Amino acid sequence: MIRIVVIDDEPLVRSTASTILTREGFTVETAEDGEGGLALVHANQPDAVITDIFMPKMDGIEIIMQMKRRSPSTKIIAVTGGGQAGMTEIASAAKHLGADHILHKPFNQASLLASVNAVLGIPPATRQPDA
Amino acid sequence: MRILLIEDNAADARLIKETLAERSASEIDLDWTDRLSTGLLRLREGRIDGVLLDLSLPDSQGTEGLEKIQAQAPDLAVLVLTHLDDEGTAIHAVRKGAQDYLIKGETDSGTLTRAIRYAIERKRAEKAIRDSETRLRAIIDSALDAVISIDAQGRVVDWNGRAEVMFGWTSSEAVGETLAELIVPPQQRDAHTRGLRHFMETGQGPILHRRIEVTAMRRDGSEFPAELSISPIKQGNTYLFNAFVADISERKQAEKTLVRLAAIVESSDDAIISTTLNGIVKSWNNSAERIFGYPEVNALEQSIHLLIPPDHVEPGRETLDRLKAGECIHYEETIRGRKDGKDISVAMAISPIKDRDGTITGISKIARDVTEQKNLEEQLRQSQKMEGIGQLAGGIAHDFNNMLTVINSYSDMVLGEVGFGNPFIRNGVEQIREAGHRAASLTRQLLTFSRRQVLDIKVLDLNEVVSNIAKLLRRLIGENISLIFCPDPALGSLRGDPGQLEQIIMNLAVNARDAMPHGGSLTIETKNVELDATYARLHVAVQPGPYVMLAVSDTGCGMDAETQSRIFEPFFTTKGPGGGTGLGLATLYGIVKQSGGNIWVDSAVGKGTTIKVFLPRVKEKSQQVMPASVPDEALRGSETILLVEDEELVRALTEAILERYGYTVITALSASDALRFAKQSADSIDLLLTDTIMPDMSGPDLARQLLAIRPDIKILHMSGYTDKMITHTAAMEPGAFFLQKPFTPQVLSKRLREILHPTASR
Repeated sequence: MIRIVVIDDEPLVRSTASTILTREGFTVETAEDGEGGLALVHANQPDAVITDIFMPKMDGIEIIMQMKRRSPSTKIIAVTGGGQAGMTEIASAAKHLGADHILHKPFNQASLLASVNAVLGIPPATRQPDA
Repeated sequence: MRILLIEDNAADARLIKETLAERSASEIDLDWTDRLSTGLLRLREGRIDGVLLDLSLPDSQGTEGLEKIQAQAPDLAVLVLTHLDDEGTAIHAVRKGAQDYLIKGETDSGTLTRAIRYAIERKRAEKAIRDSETRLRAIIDSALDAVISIDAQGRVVDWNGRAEVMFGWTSSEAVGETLAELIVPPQQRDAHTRGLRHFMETGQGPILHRRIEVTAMRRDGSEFPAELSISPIKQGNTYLFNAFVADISERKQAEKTLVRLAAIVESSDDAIISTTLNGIVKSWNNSAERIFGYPEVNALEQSIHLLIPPDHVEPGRETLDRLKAGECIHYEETIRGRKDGKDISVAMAISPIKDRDGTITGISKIARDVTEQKNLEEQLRQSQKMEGIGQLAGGIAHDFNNMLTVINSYSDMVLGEVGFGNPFIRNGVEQIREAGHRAASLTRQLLTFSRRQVLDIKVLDLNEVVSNIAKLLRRLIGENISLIFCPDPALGSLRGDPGQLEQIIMNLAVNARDAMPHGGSLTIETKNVELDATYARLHVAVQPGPYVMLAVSDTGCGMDAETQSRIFEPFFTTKGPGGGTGLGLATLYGIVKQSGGNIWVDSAVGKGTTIKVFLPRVKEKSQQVMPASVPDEALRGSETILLVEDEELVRALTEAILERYGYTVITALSASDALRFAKQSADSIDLLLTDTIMPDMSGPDLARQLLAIRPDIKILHMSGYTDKMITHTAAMEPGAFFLQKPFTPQVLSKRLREILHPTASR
C-alpha cells in the first residue's frame, strides 16, 4: 500500500489529485494547510507528499524544510501554481531544499501520475500501442 | 576814446589839451581833474578808456596814484606823466603796470596820440589774454577728467583739481615731481619712461593722440583702470605732454557685469530669446539654436511665429495684451516646432522686458525642452501599466491553473471511462479537454508575460538560435516575403531560455508577416551594443552595460503611436478574430524583462516596424549544443508524407524537420484539406502524419476516411495528450501509430523509420 499526502489550500485541487491517485490504487490523505499536512506526514510517514508551494500561513518551503528534518525518507513533489512574484526563485529554492520533483499547475492525470511514478521509482506503463 | 587827465598844474593840463586838439580833436575826448581823489570819483562814473596820470599830485606822490587807480579799475590803460628830471620814477611806474610814460614838454601831438592809442589797445589785448587764460583754467579745473601736463623730462607741470581727487596728490605736491612715480604702477614705469624717451628721440609715439586703457595708481598704492589720451605740444625746441585721464572703474565693472550676464545667457541650458513687442527676434542664445535647430543668423529679425507649429493654436492677441500689462505667462508644457519639422514639448516662461523707467520694450522667452522628460514620464507610465497588468495576469493565471487542473484532470479520467457507445458524451468531453489544454497554454503565456514562468536558462549564441530556426521562419513567412539575416560575426553570448528565445523570434516573424500581406522583406539583425549611461537615463528601467541586440524589421504597414503604446498588453491584438491571441508580444515582453533585457519599438504608419530586443551580454561561451549539421543517415527517408496540423507553428516546425530528413512533405491545414488532396491528386502518399484533435475532424476519423480512399497509407497520430488515453479508447485504426508531443527531430525521424521500414530499423 503506497501512501500519499496531498497538501493544497484549494479544495477542488485536493479532491482532483485525490481522485486521480485513488483510482490508481494509492492511499491518499489530504490537508488544507501546512500545519495539518505536516501532522499527517509525521503521524503516518507516507511514501510521498504532494504539496503546493504557495499557501497562506505555512508555505511549501517551510513544509519541505520540516519534512527533511523529521521525515527524510518521504518523497516530495512541490507543486507550483504560478502567478506569484518571486515564483521562479522559490521554485528553484524548493528543488534546492530537497523537493524530489517540481510539478507545474495545471497538472492533469498524466503529468501527476508521471511525477508520482518518477519519485517512487515505479516504471511507467507501457506506451506501445496495441498494434 | 575818452581820456581822463589827472594833473594839478593847469598850465601843463592846458598844454596837453592843446597838443591833443591839434591832431585828433575828433578822436580823443579829454576830461581833466587836478586831484587823484576827484579822478577816482570820475572813474567810477565809467566811460573812460584811459588815464593820463601826473606822478606828482597834491593828494598823491609817485606810484601811489597808479596803484589806487589799478585797484579800482584794473583793466584801464594808465599812462604816467613826468618831468625830464624824474624819468626813474616813471620807469618804476611802468614796471608797476603803467602802459607807458610821457615826459612833459617833450611830447608832440603825434607821439602823444599814438602813445595813448597803443596803450589802450595793449591793455585790452592783455585783458583778453588774461580772460582766456582764466576761462581755460576754469575749464581744466572743472573737467571730469584729470588733466595733467608734463615736460620732456616727465615732470609734472600742471595738475588739475580732478587729478587731485583722482590720485590723492594736491597740485602743489605734484607739480615738479616725476609723473611716473606718482601715478604709474611700479611694474609699468619702465615702459612709460621708454615711451617718453622714444618720442623725444624719434618724434614717434604709438600711444599718442588716441585713447588707451591703462592701470593707474593712487597715492595709497591702490590701482584702478584708467582711460588715457596724451597729446604732445611743441614749445620751442621741446615738448609738453598733455594727458587726459578718466577713471573707468565703474565702466569696467559695468562691462564685466554685462559680460557675465551674456555668459549666463549663452551658457544656459534653456533657450533664452528676446523679441520686440511685435515678436521680431532680437537675441537668440546657444540653447535656442540647439533646442529649435535654427542658427542665430537664421533666427534674428525673424518673427517668433517661426516656432509655432502650423496646426498649433495659441491665443496670440490675448497673450500680447497680458504681457503689455506687465504680466508674466508660464506654460507648463506647450508644443513648438523645430527647424527640421519635429515638434517638441517645451516648458516656457514669457515675460515683458522693462527698461529703467518701467516701460515695456520687448518680450523675453525662456524655454526648456521637456521632450525627454515627457518621454521618460510616458515610458514610466507604460512600465507601471505593464507592471500592473502583469500582477493582474499573474493572479488570474494562478487561479486558472487550479481550475484547469480540475478540468483537465477530470476530462482525462472521464475519457478513459466513457466508451464509444455515446458519441455525444465522448465528443463533448474531448472538446472540454481540448479547451482546457488551450486555456492552459494561454495561462502559461500569461505567466510568461507576468515574468512568473520558470525559465530554462542557458548561455546561448543568438546567431545559432536564429540559424537553427531560419528554415522554419522562411516557411512561416511565406514566399512573397524575403528573409534577410544580418548576423554580427563577433556576437557575444547571452543568458536565456533557448525555447523561449525561439518563440520570441517566431512571434516577431509572424507579426512582421501579418504586417506585410502583399509581401516585403523581413530583416533579422544581431549586434553587440553598449547601452551607456545616457541611453539608460533616457530609458526607464535600463541598466547601462553590454547587450546583445536582436532587431526584427519589416517593410509592412507600421503602427501608429496609440497602437505602439499597447502592443505589449496581453490580449491586445490588431489582427481580426481568429488572427491571434494577443499574447505573442506580451510573452516576448515578459521573457525579455525576466531576462534583464528591454525592448524598443520604432514604427510609423506606412514606414514599417523595427522591434529591437536588448538582452544582457555575458562573457561565458555558449553552452548550446549545435544540432548535428547532417542528420544521421540511418534516420533519413525519401517517402512522401501528408502532414495535417492546424497549429501553424507546429506545422511549420514539423515540415522543416521532415524536409531536413529527406522527406517530401505535403501540408494540409485541416482534415478536409487533406482529404481533398488525397482525392484529387495522383501523387503517391506513403504516410499520414496528423494531429489527433482538429476543429473540423478528429485524427482517427481522418485516418479512417483516408484509408477508405488510399488503403496503403500508414498512419502516425501525434498528440500532446498521453498515448494511454488514445490507445485505451481504441479510437485509433488498427495499424495506426502514435507519437507524443512535444517530440525532438530525432524521435520523429526514428519513429518514421520504424513505421515506414520496420525491418531495416529493428
